[in-house]
Amino acid sequence: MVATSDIVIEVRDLDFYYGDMKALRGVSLNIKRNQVTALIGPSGCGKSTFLRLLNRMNDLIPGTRVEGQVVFEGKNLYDEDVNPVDIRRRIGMVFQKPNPFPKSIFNNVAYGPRLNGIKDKKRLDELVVRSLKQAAIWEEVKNSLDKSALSLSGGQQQRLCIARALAMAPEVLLMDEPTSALDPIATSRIEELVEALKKDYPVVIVTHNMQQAARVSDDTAFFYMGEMVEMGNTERLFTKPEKQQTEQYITGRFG
Amino acid sequence: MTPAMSEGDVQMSSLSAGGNQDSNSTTSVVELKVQEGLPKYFFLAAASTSLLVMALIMIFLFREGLAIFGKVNPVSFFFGKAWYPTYDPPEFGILALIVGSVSVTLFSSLVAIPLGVGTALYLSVLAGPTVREYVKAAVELLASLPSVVLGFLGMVVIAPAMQQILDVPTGLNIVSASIVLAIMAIPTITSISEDALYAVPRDNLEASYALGATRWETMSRILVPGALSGIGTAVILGMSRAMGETMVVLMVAGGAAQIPSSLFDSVRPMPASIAAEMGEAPFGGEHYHALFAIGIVLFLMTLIFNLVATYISNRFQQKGASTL
Amino acid sequence: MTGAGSRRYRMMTERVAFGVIRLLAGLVVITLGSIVLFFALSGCERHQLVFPD
Repeated sequence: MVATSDIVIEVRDLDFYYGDMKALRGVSLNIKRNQVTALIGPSGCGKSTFLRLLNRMNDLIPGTRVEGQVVFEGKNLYDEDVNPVDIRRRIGMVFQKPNPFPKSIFNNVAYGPRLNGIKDKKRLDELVVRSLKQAAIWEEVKNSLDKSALSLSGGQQQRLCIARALAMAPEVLLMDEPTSALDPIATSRIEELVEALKKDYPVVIVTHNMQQAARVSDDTAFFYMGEMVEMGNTERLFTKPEKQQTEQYITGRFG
Repeated sequence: MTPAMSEGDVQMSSLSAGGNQDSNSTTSVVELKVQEGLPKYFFLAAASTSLLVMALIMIFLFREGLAIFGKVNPVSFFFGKAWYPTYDPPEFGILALIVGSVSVTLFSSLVAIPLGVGTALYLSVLAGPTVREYVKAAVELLASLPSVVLGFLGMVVIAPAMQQILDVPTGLNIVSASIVLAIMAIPTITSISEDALYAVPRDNLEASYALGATRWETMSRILVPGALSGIGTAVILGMSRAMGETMVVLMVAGGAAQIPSSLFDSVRPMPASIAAEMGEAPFGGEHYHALFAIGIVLFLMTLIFNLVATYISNRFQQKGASTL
Repeated sequence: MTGAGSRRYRMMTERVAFGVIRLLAGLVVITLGSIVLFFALSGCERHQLVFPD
């Protein structure tokens, strides 16, 4: 059994609506410390929607509604007195398509710290270098920090986006299909990076690629039609699924 | 008139280029080629006709206008302060007219830029979908008001009100003309700025929010910098419209060919001068040529505005393309 | 991390800036509204469709 202190985010009976459409029903699961949690499932099953609920990114879409609780550090993220801006500072996010700002590499990484009011050049330098090293891109860009981030390749851009998220010193890192726009080599570099990051950050990764989930994650949750069907240790889930739907999905009978 | 035409040319030439590629890919089918040739020549003819007409207009303008410099020295024409075209001997100094044009253009931009850009920002950041639809429709309605109608409004409402409230000698002055010009420039500035704001990739805004930026931080650090060249283009096109506008300045600027000493003085901007005097100027006389020369000055000024706008928006497009 | 002071300052900046933007957009809409109203009213007067006092 896992001790409660190992749980970073506890989701209880989460329902989510886009207007009248119920996109998620009754999802409950735990995100644990020092682990990679993978969310898998066919397209439209609600896994990305669920991920975006963990840092309140869905607040930006008008006409959505949330019921249930997402407890982070003992506090429900959807309580009235919680400011979503504060949540997003503490829970970082990396998107499907690399989306660096049309600014220099340095300014991309420094964007978050500057929002936090860090103006001191030395401290910014330190933070940028540390984040780029953590995201395993420092060696490639150390001589071109003033160049536009858009001059990097897709895989480099994605690692830069990870560095940008890490510069905020987040408590959790959310990744929404971070390799779906990348080639196999860039993908394996990101996967190595995810492995390395889990020592310091709990990672939640959405992927449509089951092999990827099997390679990088410790726990896997299978989503289908807006419900969380099954969750457990990745190896166990892929070898001995408890539910029939899970088995059908991982054996490729639908998807 | 000029920018619209040249834009049309670009579209034409790109169309005929597209036709070329198609005919290359279907070289074996002779009939198809003939069918494709017809529209191609049609567009070519249309494009060259409009080019030809433009060239003829330019030649005419410059031939009629440059003739004045045979009789009046260019320095005293451009820098002379006295515009007495019907005196004997006449004086053709257009400095007062240039100052008139520049003053109403600058002051109207001062009013129109914050209002126009502010409205664009409101539409793209703050307005809900319903409000947005209504405000956009309203701004487009503003664009469709004929300039003579706005000039009428300036004469009948703004000028008398200003005269009474501020106790100035005449309500037909720089400020009231600028206000009316600003009303005309706002739709241009708003709609082009809003397009530019809309063209900023949503991904970048999302990334900014995900890093814990507030709406204001995202707007000021990502949205506005990303749209800056588009907003610059919008502002310059708006100014160019104010510079070339005739009816409003003819009706509301007061028409005094003097160098103004305050914002509440009457002025006679260049287009107003041409429109008011061309009917009385004897064909082929000095006055007639002088008015054409004013037309050249006006043309060059608007051309510069449009070139700057094109330059800015080209840079913007290249930056956009490199996001791939 | 962010202090409460700078947080309050940021919220205030945002409120003021958005207030200004709303004001500018409002001015444009009011201008348009009064132009339309002006023409509508003077048109009515011309056709003796004077509204009762």
